[in-house]
Amino acid sequence: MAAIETDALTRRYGEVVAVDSVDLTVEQGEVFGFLGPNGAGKSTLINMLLDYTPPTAGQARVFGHRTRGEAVDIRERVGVLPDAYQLYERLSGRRHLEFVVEARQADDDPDDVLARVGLDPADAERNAGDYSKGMAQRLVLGMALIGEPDLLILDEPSTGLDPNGIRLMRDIIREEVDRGATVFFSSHILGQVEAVCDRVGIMNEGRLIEVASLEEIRDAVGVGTTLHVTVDQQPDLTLSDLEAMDGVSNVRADGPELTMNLSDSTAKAKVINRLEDGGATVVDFETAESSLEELFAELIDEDETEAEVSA
Amino acid sequence: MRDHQLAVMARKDFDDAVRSKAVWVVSALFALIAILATYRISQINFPEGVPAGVVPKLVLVTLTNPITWIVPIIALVVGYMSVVGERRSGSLKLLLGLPFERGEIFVGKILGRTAVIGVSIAVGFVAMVVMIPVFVGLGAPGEFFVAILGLFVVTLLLGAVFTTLAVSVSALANTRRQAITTVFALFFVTHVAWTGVIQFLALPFGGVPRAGSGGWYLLLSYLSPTAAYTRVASLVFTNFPVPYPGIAMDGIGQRARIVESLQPTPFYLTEWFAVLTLLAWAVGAGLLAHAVFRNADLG
Repeated sequence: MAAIETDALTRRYGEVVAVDSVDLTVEQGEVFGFLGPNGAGKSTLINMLLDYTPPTAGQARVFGHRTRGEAVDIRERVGVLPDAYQLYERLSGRRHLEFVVEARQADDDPDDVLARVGLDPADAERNAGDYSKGMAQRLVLGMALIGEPDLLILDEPSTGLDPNGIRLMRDIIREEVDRGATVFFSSHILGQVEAVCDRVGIMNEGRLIEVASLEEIRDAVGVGTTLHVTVDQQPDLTLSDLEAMDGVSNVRADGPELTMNLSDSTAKAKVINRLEDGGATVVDFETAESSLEELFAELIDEDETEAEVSA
Repeated sequence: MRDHQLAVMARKDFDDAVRSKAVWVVSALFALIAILATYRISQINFPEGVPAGVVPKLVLVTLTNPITWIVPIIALVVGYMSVVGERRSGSLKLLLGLPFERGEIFVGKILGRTAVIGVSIAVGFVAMVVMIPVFVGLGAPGEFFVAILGLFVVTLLLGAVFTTLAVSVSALANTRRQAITTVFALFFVTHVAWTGVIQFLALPFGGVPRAGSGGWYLLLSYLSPTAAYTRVASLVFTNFPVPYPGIAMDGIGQRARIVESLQPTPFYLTEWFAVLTLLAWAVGAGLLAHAVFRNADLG
């Protein structure tokens, strides 16, 4: 049984299609990164998984439970860090945790939770209305962890966190997965997804345009490491000779400068050797990791071009 | 709905709402009004021969009128933001991430906020218990305490009904503005304007009826929750010189004459029918709001 399964899940707001017939399966035990620019429909899809928002068509199941009618069964097994929430400003951080412990009939000790998410016990006594965004985010992450949920749904979890907080978030995600939990988290920042995810799904304008492992996506779009090499003279080989090498693709030449994509970082030394064997001296080279940002932009570009063509 | 979840929800909501400054301001206002009204009555010169126990009870009877103003206002102030506020701020997403049914959230909030109103009403009644002996004396303490306890219970019922109305409006509203406009309109229609509206409706039928007929007119008059409260309150003041306390909204004489002419008292003018009227307001509003809230888009 999949942790999450959606079937032509759709949500319209008047003319606007916020989520457009999405079929998505997230298996138990994986870390699934849910990517897309702001407004792509990520939060709306999450809202439907938790039955905050009813779908206009299609359906979704979480651990086999229908979101419509079995939402409580789902909520029993899911810990949530929602997007755009607010704490109860007149209640202390500790009272928030106690409330969740009671609601879940769990036996977690609020002090352990505070320690785990790095909140000072003295801060926990203060009213949550005084919390910074980062403190609030830590508290709500802690609330989501109570009762060892089988699935964590984290909507933009790094919002408001400093680098330490982001590292803590990653560590916690790994710990939770090691415990056997499934993690589904959304982000519009790709670097954060890259570090922890097994698979990613990419949303754009309401549609799920790609679901794959990070490697598969890199291969599919043909990016990885980009190598720039400057040579002193024309070596005794052609561009296609280079392209024939393992892990090398998309070789371009601009005078003495060569640019190519490497899917395998060991290919760099081989390329340089090959050029020098060909009689040229490499005077300069640099590599750049193609960021997921580029990859992302490229995928969305492709998607939009296709949409225009089909229109 | 599960008791444990309701209790957890109600307790959280109570803890949250009772810390609101607005609640304490209106509670203090209630206590102040109780004190002022008690003082005013103590200044009346009663004729010789009025039994000692009557004056403190008369104070209570008189207080039912300000109570029909202040208690609904407190309840509406405490309740109107209860759901829509959480919905707009996003804290509702934290609740809905926990194993609560929407119905449990809704009813839990009604219970929690009713408890807050209960505290507020208790503050007002404590002020009365302290001030009445000071200003007018007690006369017959036993009778007085039974009466004030009875009035307290009946007033709790009024508070619970208006809290349910307020939380229901809050669950139905999409914005804070809608909620505040609706509770204001609700209070205006059910309390301030009710009698006037009934009189207006009676115009085509010859205006306010005279003795000997007009049971329908009183029926409509007492369908307002605050008027129903005054009828229920008269359960507490048995054998009291004023036959129909608290029904002076459009001339006590006229109504009393109608009631007297309708012997035996029709069922819809009994106190127990008024209890049912109050419950019907709460249950009706609650069912309507729950039906809508259950399927609302809370994303």
